Amino acid sequence: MAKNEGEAVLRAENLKIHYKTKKSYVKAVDGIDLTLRKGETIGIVGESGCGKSTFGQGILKLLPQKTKYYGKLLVRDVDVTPLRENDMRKVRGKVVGMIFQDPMTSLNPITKVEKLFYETLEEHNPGISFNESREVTAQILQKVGIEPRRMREYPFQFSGGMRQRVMIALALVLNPDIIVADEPTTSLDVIVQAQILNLLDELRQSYNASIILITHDLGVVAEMADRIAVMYAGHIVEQNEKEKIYYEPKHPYTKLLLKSIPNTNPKDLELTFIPGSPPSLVNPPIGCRFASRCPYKMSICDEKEPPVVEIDGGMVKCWLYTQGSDNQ
Amino acid sequence: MARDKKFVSERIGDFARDLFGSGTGRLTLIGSFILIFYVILAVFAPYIAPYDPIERVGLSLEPPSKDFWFGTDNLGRDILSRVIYGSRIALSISFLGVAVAFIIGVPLGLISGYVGGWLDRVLTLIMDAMYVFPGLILAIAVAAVLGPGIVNISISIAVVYTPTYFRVIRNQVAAVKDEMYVEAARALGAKRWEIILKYIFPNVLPSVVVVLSMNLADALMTEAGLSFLGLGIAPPTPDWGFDLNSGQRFVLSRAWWGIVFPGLAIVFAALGFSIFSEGINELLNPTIRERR
Amino acid sequence: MSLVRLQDIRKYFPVKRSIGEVLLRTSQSFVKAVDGISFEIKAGETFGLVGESGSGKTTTGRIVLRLIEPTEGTIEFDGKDITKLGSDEMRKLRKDMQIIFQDPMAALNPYMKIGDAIKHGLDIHNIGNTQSERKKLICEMLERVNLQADLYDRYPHELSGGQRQRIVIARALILRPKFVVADEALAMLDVSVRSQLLQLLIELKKEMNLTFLFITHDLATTKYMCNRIGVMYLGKFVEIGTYQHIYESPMHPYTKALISAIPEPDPKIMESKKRLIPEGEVPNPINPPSGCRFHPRCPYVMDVCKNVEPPLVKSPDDRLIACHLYTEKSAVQQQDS
Repeated sequence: MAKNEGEAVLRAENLKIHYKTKKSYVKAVDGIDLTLRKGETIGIVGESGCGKSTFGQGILKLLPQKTKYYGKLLVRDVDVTPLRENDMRKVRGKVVGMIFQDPMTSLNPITKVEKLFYETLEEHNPGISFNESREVTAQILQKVGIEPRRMREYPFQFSGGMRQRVMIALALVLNPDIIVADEPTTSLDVIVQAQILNLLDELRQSYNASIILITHDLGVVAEMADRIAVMYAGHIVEQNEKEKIYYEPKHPYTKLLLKSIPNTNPKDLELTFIPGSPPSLVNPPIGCRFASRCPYKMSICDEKEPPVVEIDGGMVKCWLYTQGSDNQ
Repeated sequence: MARDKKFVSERIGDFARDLFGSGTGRLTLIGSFILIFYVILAVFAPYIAPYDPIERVGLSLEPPSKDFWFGTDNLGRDILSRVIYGSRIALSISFLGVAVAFIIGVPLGLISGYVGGWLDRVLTLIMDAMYVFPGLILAIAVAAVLGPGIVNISISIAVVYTPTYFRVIRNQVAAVKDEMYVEAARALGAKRWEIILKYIFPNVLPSVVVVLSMNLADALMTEAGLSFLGLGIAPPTPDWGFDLNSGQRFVLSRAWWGIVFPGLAIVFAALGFSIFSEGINELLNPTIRERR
Repeated sequence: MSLVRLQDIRKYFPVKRSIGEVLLRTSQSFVKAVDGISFEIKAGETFGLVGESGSGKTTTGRIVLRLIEPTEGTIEFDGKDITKLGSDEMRKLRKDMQIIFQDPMAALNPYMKIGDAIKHGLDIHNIGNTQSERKKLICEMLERVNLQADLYDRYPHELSGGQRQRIVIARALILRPKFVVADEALAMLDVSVRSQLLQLLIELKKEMNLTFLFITHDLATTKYMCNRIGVMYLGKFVEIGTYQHIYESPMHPYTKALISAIPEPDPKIMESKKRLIPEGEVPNPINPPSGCRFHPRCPYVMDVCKNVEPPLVKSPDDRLIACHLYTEKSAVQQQDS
């Protein structure tokens, strides 16, 4: 499973994304390091407000104008943080494709599906004829399990699951290296969700694309991801291979999060939860951001931000693990 | 450091930044200044106006001068004084007319939208029939039947605007009544009127406030139109529309001041209302607000 | 003793016709949201209702409370037929039957203070003699759902999602109802908050001796709450049983598919889990398939399934199942006995 050798297609280095609300900046992503390799799927997991969606949209710079980016975000060795809207448009779709949570609101309802594809294709291949575009569209729709003749329909004529397939086809049509899927199955029923996840996995293999799968559902990433990054309050608190995260979690937040998911084992009737709530990201605490809810809190946790420690093939941002690494 | 409590000065600062720091805030401010200016004119007209507006105080059709800033009309009355006094009629009729339209249109819209069924269909039909009439023509018809007078003119203006309130409210109610909090109120065992008053009305009110301020500008123009056509207030009461009408007869005698000043008064008042309503719209609408 | 009993409930929503269709006199079609279901909930029991969107579970929850009128069938509450009860009597009865909604933001009037939202129920049903007594009750209730009493004067948008859902729970339970419908009450909350609130509901159920209809698409949460679970597909029950029945040994092919589709937070289970994901999508409830409604997607489909609707019958292990794979035998057994 280890894919540490592959070529890095995306790399975030101390990336910060601060977006503006009426009065203040929200430090939604506040210094994260992440490497995505060719053909790999990274699951980014966290609860709402942890910054995972901001990160996903930040990769394509889809956030409002006044958003500030610090650090580096290398998409195929090009730092996109200083890029302007015009240059970003070349990256969108071509290098990075995006799949959104709600395909109803993210597909223009009054544009036929064939036109949606034509618009995307034409943006990157000026001069492509409508007929050529329709041929390409037919092929890709076939691949995602939609009858090509349905390209003459409007998005609202598709069911939720079918719409998500259209969305996936649209994200894949330019053959991007990276696909950012932001909660791609959250609004779908379980059976449709399973169908879509199977489809995504098949497509990833046939296209050899890399996927950033953003979700709150630890069950979804358990199936799809190779590696998992757990986000809490704008930080990646732990990242490692999937099995390590599930069976040997290091960070207290990961441990508690895993315990608090209702499992289906009929004998296990105990409910655990994390008391309290995440801190505000306008004025985050100076120390560890999880400290106020952490059962293993030490005095240093409130005073200094924990460093990122390499451990067990992964990384964890926690004071509990600093001693060991210092000694090494 | 957490700063839960803010000093009053800081809050005022925030509010001021809201007003000055953005285009919409500045617009609202300008609009409200114009409005306040007119209201002051209307309320304190006897103290502000240099002459009695219905007395002959100079020669006929005197051009603007040191004594008569805006000149005099064909009866030798001071136009400045008439413009100042005219704001009384203009404001009171447009406020009264819009208020009557509001008082009739809003409850009808609430009931029609919430109850639905045949009542809704009949009311909608009537209101739509009124709505498709060009506003001024409808007002003329009603005013012609009722005759002059402040109350009558207000009623004819109200007739024009009632359908607007009805339609806005009814459509909003139709959307809001499917909201889950309305269902929650039903699940609590609330009575119909309670649901309409406590749950639906507060949620549809913001959309009417915008219409309200927009209609004021419109009503002002309609009032001027009516009195221009001689259907307004009986002379010699000062009234911009009427003065405009009597002034235009002497334009050929080069007496431009007879129409320019009452005309400007109308334009600025309508502009003030419009700008104000535009600003209020954006300030009240949180989705537009957030995007700033 | 059953507190709630539904008998042959159907709900058909008319489909809006376009002007052309009205002129051409196309016959009126109906969305058959709920198409003949019967079940009862015993006092003190929690009955889980699971299914995908379009299964009719939400409509069923509304019908039980008569927030939607059924097209056909009878609803009994506390031994009384309430199907035709007048609106005044129904309003009084609402004290005993409450609902917790899915989206707590949508379920609270944005222009009403938290305290007033909760107080409205007390006002309607005249609980507490004076205003100050009511306020005291509300503050107690707020504290019971682990909120601070000083939220009384706040507006819903000032609260977090979890806090809002606690308010919705407080508003429903302050009336001391006998029966509560929880309609996807935890669906929109984050994992950690979801567990907190599930715990709260379990505690309150014990303290107040509540009977629940627990509607959810998340099978995992039913384990903690539900005595029995009914699985719905296209407006009908396919299987009713305990959590063990449904989860450990599902019998109906649809239940099996549903269970196998649940994403589990455990990579090993996910890998070993044999996927039984059916092809295609839930058919249109306007023209549901003939015979067994699941037959077009069922891997075990037989000829009989296409024409004959399987009845919901008791299986030897005391669950109810509607599938020809099992009914042939058990139907015979039933006739014998």
